Amino acid sequence: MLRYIFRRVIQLVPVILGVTFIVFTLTYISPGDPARLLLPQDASDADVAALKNAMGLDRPFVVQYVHFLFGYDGPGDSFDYKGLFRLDLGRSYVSNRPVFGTILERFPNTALLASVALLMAILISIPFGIVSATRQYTKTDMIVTVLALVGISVPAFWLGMMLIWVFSVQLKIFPSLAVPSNPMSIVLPAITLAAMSTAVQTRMTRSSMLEVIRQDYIRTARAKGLAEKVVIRRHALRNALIPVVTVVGLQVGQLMVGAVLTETVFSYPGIGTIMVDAIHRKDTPQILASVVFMALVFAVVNLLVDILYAFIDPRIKAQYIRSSGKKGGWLDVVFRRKA
Amino acid sequence: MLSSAEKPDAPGNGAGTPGRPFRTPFQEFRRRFGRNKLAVAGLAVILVYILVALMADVFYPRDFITGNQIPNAFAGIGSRAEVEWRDAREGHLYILGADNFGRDVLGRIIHGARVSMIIGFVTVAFAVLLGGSLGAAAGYYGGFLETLIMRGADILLAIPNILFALAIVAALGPSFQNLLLAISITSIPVYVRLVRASVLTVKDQEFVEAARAIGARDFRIVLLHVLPNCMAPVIVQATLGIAQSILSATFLSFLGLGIQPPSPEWGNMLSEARPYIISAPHTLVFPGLAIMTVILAYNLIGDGLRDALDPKLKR
Repeated sequence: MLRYIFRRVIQLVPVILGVTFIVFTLTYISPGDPARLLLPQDASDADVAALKNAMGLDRPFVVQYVHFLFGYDGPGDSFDYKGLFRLDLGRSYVSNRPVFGTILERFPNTALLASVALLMAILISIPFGIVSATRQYTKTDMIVTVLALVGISVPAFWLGMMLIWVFSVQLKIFPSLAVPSNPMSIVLPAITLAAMSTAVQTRMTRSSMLEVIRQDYIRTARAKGLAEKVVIRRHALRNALIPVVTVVGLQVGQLMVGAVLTETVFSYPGIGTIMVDAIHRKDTPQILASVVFMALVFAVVNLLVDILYAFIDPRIKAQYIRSSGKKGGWLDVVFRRKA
Repeated sequence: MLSSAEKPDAPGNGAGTPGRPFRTPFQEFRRRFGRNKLAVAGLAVILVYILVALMADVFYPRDFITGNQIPNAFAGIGSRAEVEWRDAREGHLYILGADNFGRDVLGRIIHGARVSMIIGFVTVAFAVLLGGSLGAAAGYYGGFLETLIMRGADILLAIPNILFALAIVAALGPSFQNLLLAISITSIPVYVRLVRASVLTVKDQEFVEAARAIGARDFRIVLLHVLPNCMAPVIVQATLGIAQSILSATFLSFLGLGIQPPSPEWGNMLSEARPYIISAPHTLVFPGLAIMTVILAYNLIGDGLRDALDPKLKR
């Protein structure tokens, strides 16, 4: 087990390097000169060049990328940073606060919103998926299926605004602005964020359940005379949930991204609002840090889900260990995924 | 009376099961897709949207849609008002009302449909062509090339789609071209993996070997023999991919990173209407409904195609 976990952690390294490289390249090629933006409009070219030098922006691409990862120690002290690996990418051009400070400060808010939404999605989707599958082609099944279809099609930010219109403007039940300290205000953003995941997971549970119910061992269980409830709970559900867990894991990442939009709609102070503000203000270090941070969270969460997966389904782990002795270069070994 | 397709002795039916009508693969596919009423409805909705998008200028001339009619701001649904247009005043029926600048909401939705349809088709076409070629090369040749391509795709897949597109547009600046580029690039890795997986199952079959024995070149074998047999999952994914692209584009436009106002686009219509949620909810409801119906329709078609093309479900 430890070997499996270790291998999965090692697999994270190239992914992180790749992600940081892509994001860094994007900023490098982006038009617009941060040095000129920071200086007054009438600054001379010499001033701009001097500031660029101080910020380390006149170095070659590779050197700048190494700075980005491991830190930068420039001529002055004002633009120094310790690099991505020590969670320091310098200060925001706008607020002059350390970019990761702002992110880490707000991350718990986003995590809270995403967790509530995830919990909501799981609690709703799995029972509905099961009911829908066990009563295939009935009215209940039809309603659930149609709702799930609508759920995967509705744009989250629009759903959020519609909820505000109905529940805040018309019925005045929930506030339209969300803050983490007020549980009532989190209800609407959580529903908004959960809608898509709920729909995806319901569909997944239903189809997975339908597949399992047709297996021979279910027929055997029924033939033994077990109560239908026991057959579903003990025999069908346990096997049907395996693909659902994967989807739930993927949903965690989607929830982080969905939070960007939901937070914007509800003006909720999370990472999403930081990122959108930074984009509007062309605050490059803040944009970079937010994107990289969210990508890292996404990668780490997927890693945790994969490990959890191996605990749930021993077959996965066995497969992994068996295949580890086979041929293949180090790249394949590092990257080998479950079949 | 039997149509020619159903005649038991139709040509080519020599080996067919007796008593079962002969169908070409396409007829079989059409029959199975047609049985799925929801998918057919989805197809109809998309055809209507495409038609409307093509004729947008006939219904609502573009300069009228982007020009302001301030006196008519927030005109209600179905209200009549005078509009000043091309140095003349004329009566105009605001079928779905007017927005904060007095512009016709239905007209802007129709013009927005044009933008969304273009984005959907262009990005997916680009992603399928590029991703498909890379995937085919990886699957067919294998070796180091495969490792290189597939690891690249893995890394791209490690960044959430919309986040990646957001980073690209934020870096390159908001414009129509950059929006197309960002969404296309983020859609590529899915097709790389899909096509590679299909090519791997097809490339060792006898007919490929036969083609090679005749002396066909790799390019010809892949293009004419391997890829046509890999199309089913790609078609399904592409349909769902169009929905995803349209959704991403509206997201980005909503955040101010896509199509810029005053050009009409569903996402930026929503973002412009957002402050008026109390006074003019109709400006907010309809663009969202437009997005939802299009996405729903594509999802229905995608589901229908999957069922119709999946040989496992064939009875």
